[in-house]
Amino acid sequence: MTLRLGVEPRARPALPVRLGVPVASLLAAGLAGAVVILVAGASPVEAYRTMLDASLNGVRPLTRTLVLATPLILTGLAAAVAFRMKVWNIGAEGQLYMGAIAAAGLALALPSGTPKPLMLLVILVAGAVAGALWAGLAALPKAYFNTNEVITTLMLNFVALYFMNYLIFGSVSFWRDPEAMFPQGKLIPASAQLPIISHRLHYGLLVALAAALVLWWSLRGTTWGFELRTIGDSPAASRYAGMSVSGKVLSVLALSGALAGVAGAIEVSGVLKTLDPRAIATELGFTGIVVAAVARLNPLGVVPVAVLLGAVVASGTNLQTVGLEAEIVFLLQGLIFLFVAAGEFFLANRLVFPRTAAAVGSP
Amino acid sequence: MRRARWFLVVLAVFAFVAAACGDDDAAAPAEPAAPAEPAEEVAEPAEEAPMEEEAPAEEEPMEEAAPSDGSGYSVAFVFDGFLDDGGWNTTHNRAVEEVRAALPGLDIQLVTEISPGPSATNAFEDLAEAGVDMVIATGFYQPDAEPVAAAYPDTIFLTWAGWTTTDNMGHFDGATEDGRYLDGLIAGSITETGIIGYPAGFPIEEVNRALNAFTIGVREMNPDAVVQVVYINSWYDPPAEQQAAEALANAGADVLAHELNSPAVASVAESRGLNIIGYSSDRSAEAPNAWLSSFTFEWGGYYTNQIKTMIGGTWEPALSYGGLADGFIGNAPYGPDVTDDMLALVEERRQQIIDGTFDYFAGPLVDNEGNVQVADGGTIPFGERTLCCLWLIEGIEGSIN
Amino acid sequence: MADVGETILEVHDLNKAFYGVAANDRVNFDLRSGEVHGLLGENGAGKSTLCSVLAGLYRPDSGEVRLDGRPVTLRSPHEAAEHGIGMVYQHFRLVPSLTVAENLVLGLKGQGIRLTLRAVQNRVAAIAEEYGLTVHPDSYVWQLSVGEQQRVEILKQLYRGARILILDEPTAVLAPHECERLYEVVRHMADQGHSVVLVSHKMEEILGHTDRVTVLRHGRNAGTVNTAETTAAILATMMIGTEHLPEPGQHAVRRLDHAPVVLSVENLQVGGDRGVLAVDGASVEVRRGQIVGVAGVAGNGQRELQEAIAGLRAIRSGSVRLGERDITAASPRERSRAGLAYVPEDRLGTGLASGLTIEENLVLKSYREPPHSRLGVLSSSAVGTTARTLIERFDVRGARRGMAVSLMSGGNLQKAILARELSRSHDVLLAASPTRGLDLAATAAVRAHIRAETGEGRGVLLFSEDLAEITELADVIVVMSRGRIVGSYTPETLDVEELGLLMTGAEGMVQAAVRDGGSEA
Repeated sequence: MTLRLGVEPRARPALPVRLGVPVASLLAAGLAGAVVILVAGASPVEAYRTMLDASLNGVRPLTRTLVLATPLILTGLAAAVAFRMKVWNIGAEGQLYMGAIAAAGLALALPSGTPKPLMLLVILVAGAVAGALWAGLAALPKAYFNTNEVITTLMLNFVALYFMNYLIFGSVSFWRDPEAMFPQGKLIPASAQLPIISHRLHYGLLVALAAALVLWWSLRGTTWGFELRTIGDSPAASRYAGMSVSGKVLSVLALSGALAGVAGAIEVSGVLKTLDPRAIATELGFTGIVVAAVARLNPLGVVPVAVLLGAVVASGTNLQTVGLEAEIVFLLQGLIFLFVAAGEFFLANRLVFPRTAAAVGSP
Repeated sequence: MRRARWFLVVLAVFAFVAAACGDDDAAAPAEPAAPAEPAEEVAEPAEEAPMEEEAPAEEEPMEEAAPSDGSGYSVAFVFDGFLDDGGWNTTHNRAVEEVRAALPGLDIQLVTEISPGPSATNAFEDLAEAGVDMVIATGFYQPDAEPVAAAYPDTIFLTWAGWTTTDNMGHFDGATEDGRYLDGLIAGSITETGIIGYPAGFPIEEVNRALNAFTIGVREMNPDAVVQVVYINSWYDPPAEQQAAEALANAGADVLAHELNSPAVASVAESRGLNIIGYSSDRSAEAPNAWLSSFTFEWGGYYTNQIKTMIGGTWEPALSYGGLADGFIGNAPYGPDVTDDMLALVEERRQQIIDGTFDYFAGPLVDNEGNVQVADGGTIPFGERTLCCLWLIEGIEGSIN
Repeated sequence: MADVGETILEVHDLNKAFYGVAANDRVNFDLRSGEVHGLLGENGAGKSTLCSVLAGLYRPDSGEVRLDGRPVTLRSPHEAAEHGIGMVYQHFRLVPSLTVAENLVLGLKGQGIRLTLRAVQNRVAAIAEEYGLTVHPDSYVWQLSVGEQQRVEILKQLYRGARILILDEPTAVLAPHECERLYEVVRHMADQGHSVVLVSHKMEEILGHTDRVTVLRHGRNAGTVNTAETTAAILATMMIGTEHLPEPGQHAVRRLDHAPVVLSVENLQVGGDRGVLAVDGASVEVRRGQIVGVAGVAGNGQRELQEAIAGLRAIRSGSVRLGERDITAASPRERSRAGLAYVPEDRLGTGLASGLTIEENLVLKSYREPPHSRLGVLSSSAVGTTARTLIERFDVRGARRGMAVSLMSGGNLQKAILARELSRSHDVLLAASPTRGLDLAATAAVRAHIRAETGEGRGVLLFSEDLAEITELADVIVVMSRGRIVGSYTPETLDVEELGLLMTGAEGMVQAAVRDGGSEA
């Protein structure tokens, strides 16, 4: 008989375990990372101190970490809500681009004297709608012809990327600054720029946090969330209970796209102040998938995970200056995430050994 | 993609210099004379003692004669990709090694894979915060460096292809057309069919200017030859590059030159037994038989000079645009098909350009639609070159529209 | 029939239990060279367990397997193969992206690093020729039809030197013309001296294509006979048995011929998962206060019929009426609201969402209705109250607040489903294998709930593979075979032998297919 290791979900562990495991994972990642740092010829103590200093110690590092975390919270939520229903939206990347394009477009199209609250509301809604519509391109065939959304959403990422590049690099579009012969976007008016909380930290963070809270509550406390969880848990049971799976696919993909689209709008409004394809196409959407996975698709869990990732990214340059090459820094960042993800996995699942797995064969 | 980025950037410079015509953007028009300055400045490193101009001496006054080995100073180089990308970043990394040799005591930090945008701003901020004396950003980073330079007046920023200087921020770029003219001489001597294929990125000033210089070189050797240009509207797109190269070869081109970043054009040339003129660095290994030559970027002298003036307290912000005479442009080793006769001419012309006794842009220059762009006796002055060209010179088959 | 030779394989007093439930209980079996030996029995009779032991997949708890008179232990499929035993499963184990020849050598030991595929191809071609198993060795498996893939599986066993071939319900996946080809191959192999174990629950197949038959019932031997000396009726009786059936009339049989019809299924045609008609013109009626039991061997369209009635599967033609209302085109939710309660066969996964809590599962059908939710906002207190009430009323045990139902036992899962379904207003209960796998106490509780339905004036349509359950509960027993209702009895008119024949698809052998049945009014 072939030896097979199975995995099965385990019951909710006690609180100390749930808090202890992530901490232990971080420590383990730190130890493994220390080996890498030593091999790379630098001092682990110095490297880790630099890392903490550059990401958490003080207003400037802290705000930077939060600025980096903001879009990741939103794309993490985008992935979490879709994956919760086992709809594999791999297209947050492209949906984010479309959100950024729409937000920048409206910010430039509306009179610059538009009152700030109205302007901000309009561009965030525009980002959400654009992201939702872009996701809808994959959602409709998924809902009605059961096409594989992994492929459609993935492909739409490229379409969105080329479209965005075309607007700035390939044509003199409405978004592009015609004065500058070098292809770059027009600067959006001050009324379309998210206000600043501190240093470069903008109010987009609060939008992201609010989205996490609302989504968390919706999943638990509404019939919509109930249906979503049921469909995700067992499609057969949800059909049996009379739920409309195809309708749900539409609404969930649209919501997922909207969240990613808002992330794009916030990046334009709060950080870039222009449609800058090179600064937007930094895999925020794909990273959101990792964030959601580590957070075990829990909207509230997405927040600390995104902040952790933001902190890890924030310290990148400083790590290079203590003698670690960019590749080693990326490796360290990956290592931290891998360990945290593994810890979460074993918190949620346990290994099943062959003895019990074999019994699955029925008489 | 990464390697291609800097290309986009070239445009920015010209955009802003072009914007000088309608002069609402303050700094740029003020500087048209600037390129000439660094040209002299940068010619210096060949000589022993760095020339001291009027020292603004905001920084610590320096002891005059003692040549510093850089001890006590730190410089960070910021790259947007890998050091060994075989192209753009490699040219800068080679320059870093020259700096290291010239200033062995200097503390040099290399920060790689920093995309332009917010992450670059963060990186500049970190470096300034850490007390680095000079940040040399080898890509199009002016917008990202600007706010940081303003916030950290004690750190000097140099970015490639920037356009506005501040008290602690200057920029640099290389005059590719100098090298392209010499490349054209070789291509013109080699071609037998009289057709040279030239796949290029976008029909913008920078590209057209180099292409025009190249064509002038070609026609000097072979007045009947034509250069067929194909713009693929991308800086890096191997399938499109290959397609363009194949199409040009099918149209009869026996020499290919290009202004693109993948090895696709070179491999087409190699596999079809044609000749290839490369771009920006020695990539003869990609097409050992087909390889003729290529101009190269040489940033080492400029960097060393900038750092020395920084140490000496005489650093001044400038827009440095340099060509052959300034040591910004060099050449890669020549391939087996380049004869000694050709080399002799190329070397003669090179010296004449450096000495200022030859101007390949000397009028009359007529575009390929028959319009006189530069009258007889006129030229495109070095300081105004970045404004040129939105036209293609006679002998080029192709259109910028 | 071929000459039947020496006994080559013997099984003595084989015991094998899963979770304390005996799947094989002192099973004896013997196989002779050159014979086709049928293995007949209902689902769960222990056929698959016996075969899996012989194929080295399971290890017996006790008992002995002898090959050529010598005891052997078969610790793995590989060891079984070394002893010349090969099994062809219902679900093929081929790699679609490889060729036939590559599949044959896959996993073989001693092949060396470089496969000499040319040699393999030659040998495969020779074997294929010999046994009439025409398959091209260069074809990719994904290009082959189901029947061809099965031939590859058989080829694979022959290539590995199998002299005993176990075919597990080989015709279940085949079209009729492919079945005929398979029988030819089987006979040919037997003629060449191989022994074939043909697992089946199709009477015609067993009678037409075997030399001897061993019948298993409830994990035990019901007998071994020479095919030529037996009849379908004898085999059916052996297969179903009579000893465990309750005496007819144990419960008061109610004549309900004039009660109003609460569920009426007429001439229903429903597609199966593979596109062919799984339900082909089935009709059945349930009256107020009546339990109608549907007997049959699994895979004869029962599941598709249930799903069509519940609205989970598209109906191609025919109609379903709930009382006066035609619900043929209604959605599952509309059917539920119209008064159809449904206890599906698949508890965890269909009846319950395994990752949701017990509370959530108990309101799976009423979460949209007040007080459980208003304007889309769930009231966790109202849901909790409902859940507590149901848990208490239906005696659901082992449920903790917030616990995923997947951690509960089968009996309590079923009680939870019943609690939810029966607490909603309904006129008809559709229940599929409601006690399968439950312990005695849970079984009794579930049956009591079903019986109680009739007292409330509701109708029950009960699907079960357990004939005892049907005879105990049902007022009318109908038999489903090949997508049709092929017989109808009251407990008084029940003829077990005939029922067995109908169930095994041998209705041609039944004198009077349909006798006096309550639902045929």
